[in-house]
Amino acid sequence: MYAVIVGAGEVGFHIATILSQEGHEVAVIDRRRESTERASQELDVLAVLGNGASRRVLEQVSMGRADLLVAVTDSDEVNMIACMAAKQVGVPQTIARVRNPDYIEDKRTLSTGFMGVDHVIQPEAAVADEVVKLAGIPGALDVETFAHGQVLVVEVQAAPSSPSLHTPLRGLKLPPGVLVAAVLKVGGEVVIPRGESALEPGDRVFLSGVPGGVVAAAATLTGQKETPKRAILLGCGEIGMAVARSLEEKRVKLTVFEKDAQRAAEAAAALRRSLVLADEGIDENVLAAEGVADSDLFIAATGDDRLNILTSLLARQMGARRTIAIVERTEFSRVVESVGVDVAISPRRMTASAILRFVRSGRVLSAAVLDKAAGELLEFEVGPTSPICDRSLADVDFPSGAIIGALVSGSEVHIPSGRSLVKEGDLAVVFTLPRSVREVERLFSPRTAR
Amino acid sequence: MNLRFVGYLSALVILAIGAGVLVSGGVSAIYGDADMVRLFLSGAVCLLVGLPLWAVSRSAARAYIGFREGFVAVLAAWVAAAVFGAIPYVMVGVFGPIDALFESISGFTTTGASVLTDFQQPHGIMFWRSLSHWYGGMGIVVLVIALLPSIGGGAIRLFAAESPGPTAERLTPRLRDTAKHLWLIYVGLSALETLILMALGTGPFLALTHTFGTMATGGFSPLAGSVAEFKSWPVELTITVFAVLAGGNFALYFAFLSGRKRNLLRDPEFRLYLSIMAVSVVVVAVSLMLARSHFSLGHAFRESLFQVVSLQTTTGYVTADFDQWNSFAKTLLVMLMFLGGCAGSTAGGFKVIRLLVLSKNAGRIFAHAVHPKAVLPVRIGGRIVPEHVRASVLGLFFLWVTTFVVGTLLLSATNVSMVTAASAVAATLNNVGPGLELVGATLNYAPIDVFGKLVLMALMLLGRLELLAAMLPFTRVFWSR
Repeated sequence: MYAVIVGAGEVGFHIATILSQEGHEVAVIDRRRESTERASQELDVLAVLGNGASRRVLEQVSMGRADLLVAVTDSDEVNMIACMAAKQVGVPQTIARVRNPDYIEDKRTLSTGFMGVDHVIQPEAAVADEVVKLAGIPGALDVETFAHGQVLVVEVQAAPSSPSLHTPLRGLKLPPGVLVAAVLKVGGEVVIPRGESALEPGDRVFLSGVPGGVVAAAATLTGQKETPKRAILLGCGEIGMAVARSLEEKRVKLTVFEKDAQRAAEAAAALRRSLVLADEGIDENVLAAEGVADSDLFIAATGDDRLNILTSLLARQMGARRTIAIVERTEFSRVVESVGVDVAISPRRMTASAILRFVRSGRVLSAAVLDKAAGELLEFEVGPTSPICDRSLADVDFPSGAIIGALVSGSEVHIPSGRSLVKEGDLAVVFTLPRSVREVERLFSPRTAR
Repeated sequence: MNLRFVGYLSALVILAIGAGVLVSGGVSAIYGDADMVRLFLSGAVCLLVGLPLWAVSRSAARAYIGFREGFVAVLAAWVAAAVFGAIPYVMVGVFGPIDALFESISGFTTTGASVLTDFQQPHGIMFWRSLSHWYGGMGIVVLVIALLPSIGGGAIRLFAAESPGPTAERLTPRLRDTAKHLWLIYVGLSALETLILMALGTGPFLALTHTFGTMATGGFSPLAGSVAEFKSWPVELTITVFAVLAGGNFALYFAFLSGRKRNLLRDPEFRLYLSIMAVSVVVVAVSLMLARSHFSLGHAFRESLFQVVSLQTTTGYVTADFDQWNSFAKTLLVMLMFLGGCAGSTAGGFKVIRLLVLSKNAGRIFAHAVHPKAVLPVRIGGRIVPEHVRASVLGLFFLWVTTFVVGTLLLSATNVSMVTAASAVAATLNNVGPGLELVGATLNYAPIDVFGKLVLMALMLLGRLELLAAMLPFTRVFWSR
């Protein structure tokens, strides 16, 4: 595949890195010399200095054979025009990052209504979605939905006092339709558990299965019962605003801190049920006065990664039940969750993975890269010529580094055993370690494809 | 200052008044009354002054209207209306100059405070007395804007100076169309009320004059006993319904009629206006039954409904001598006078929307006590009240109270009782009409001395222009560059 990426900032660079590492041809276009130089020196890509919204530039770069254009400059307008221009020079697929909700015509399908823009990625909305999804599940650290919402995969950390620790997994009384798909050990190693393995303190567990069952299992494991009633949000920029709106829709009692008077006023105007304070919200006394100790959720979404991390730690220490820090720099997010912030969400990573989801579509319906790239969650539709079709898992010698987290046939979700038969049209949610990705893809892909 | 434009606007208003006086002369002709010639003469005087003034100032028709010109022109137009509207009373010989001016101002400002003691007057002059209400209800300047083929830039300032609601709504891209639509709704409702009253058998003269008094929320009646004289429950109910409508926002009706708003009760101001009215009717009725046992339930409600609606909408018609009511009911009525109707209505008073802003604003001080750094916008019906509007409502409230206090003090100097003074000031500042005691429901303002009448005249103008336009020329900031 040949992909053209317009805008080589953090997101563009990240996508270019992954695509070129996967062996695709990649060209990046950026107006800033530093960006193109960094890309050409660090990656195996074609880096072009110029305006990616210009038809002339796109024509030169795409050379009539580009399969995909990804527009991720800072400007929504440039991104959309780049997509339109790309269509005119014959690029079949286009994706634009659009931040301003004014351009979104249909919230559900994320369509702009502009011809030429095939897909829209809205990072702020994606982050808000993620926060709301996390908020709805007790103790969830990461959450992904598959098969049109029929399958939920949740990452939780077992409470130190949980009775589920130190007992073999097969002895756990999990609700029906729920599976412990994988365990992330304290050292960072991911294992696919067997019936006799037991959970240890600090382990992070990936639960997969029907949404209701997964939520119940998460509640038992973490000892947290309630969905949040009171939340505190730090920073009301674009992301903060999207998060606040979504939480308001969920009827969460929200307190918003925003130090910029102008933005605080805008937030107060837009948020009808929340309390907006024109304050930085890093003073311990102020936080205490606004009830951090009673809050179910603390979200730090200022534009400053370090501030987000530190205040989340502070809030955690002061008694906030769950803390979520928005951390732009992916380098940080690795460390953040190990020092005590419950969840670190990187908008850039979310943008990148949303775009990669489109790139991979066709073969894989949906995919999510887990934390620390320790594994992947892939969703497949079983085709008539897939090697696994009409056979049981034991028959096909299913790789040991992978596990089917749930199998959806029609509207029925079940956890397959070794003898389960996989049928045509089934949707399979597969958890796989990096070493088994190719083998899994082979099993599910049509025989003729490769 | 573009004085030529000020003259131009006054000329147009004088001409409009001349036309009204001539129409009144026509009414006299129909009834064959003796005042016909004098009314025609009065109309001629208006035309004789208005036409030359218009001729010399018409070059300013399309002049740009600055902030100062806007306010001064509107104030001048209203003073001109008061003066020229007083001429017929003097010419026909009903009043001397001061009383004529009082009656004229009371008419145009839709107050309905009268100094008339002898109601045996010819039809023409009584028609003019009621017609002056109707002119002032929707606003003389708005009428002029609606009729003018074109007006210069900044005409919105004239509009805002005459009907200064906290939110100046432009219903249509062109201001002239907005003015036209408002007047059309006004004329339409008036026509409807006239027809209903005629169907109830009041006859065309009483139907028209009472419609003018209702739709303008004025209160002049050609009958000495006001609406009570009809002794008709359907007539009272008709006047009540149209008074309620006249006290609502006409821009809201426009939005409703043009299909932009489906449910009038969704509007927070209109909803509060009706709620306060409904609660007051019930409370007053109950207080009447408790205080005087011979009030039957139906009787109490009928009297309470008419009086509450009449006084809250600042109409000032009466069917009962509420001065004889219990102290609680009287106090509530005076408070309702201060509240008045909705912004953009023909009613006077402080306006319900401002009460909403004030109360929401007051709620903030508690929130600020607990959360000192909270950002708390004042929100009405989902819309944020801009900071400058919030501040101006607070400022206006102070001025309104101060005007009331100073006015009461001045009127007390004429040696009337405190209740008389305070209620007379409340009834004129809020353009209601009847007050308590000496100026009570069945009495009138004739016994007040000349100084007191001058004070009340000023108060009526101040109230109708909602202080701003009437006070501005007397401020230092207006004259300093």
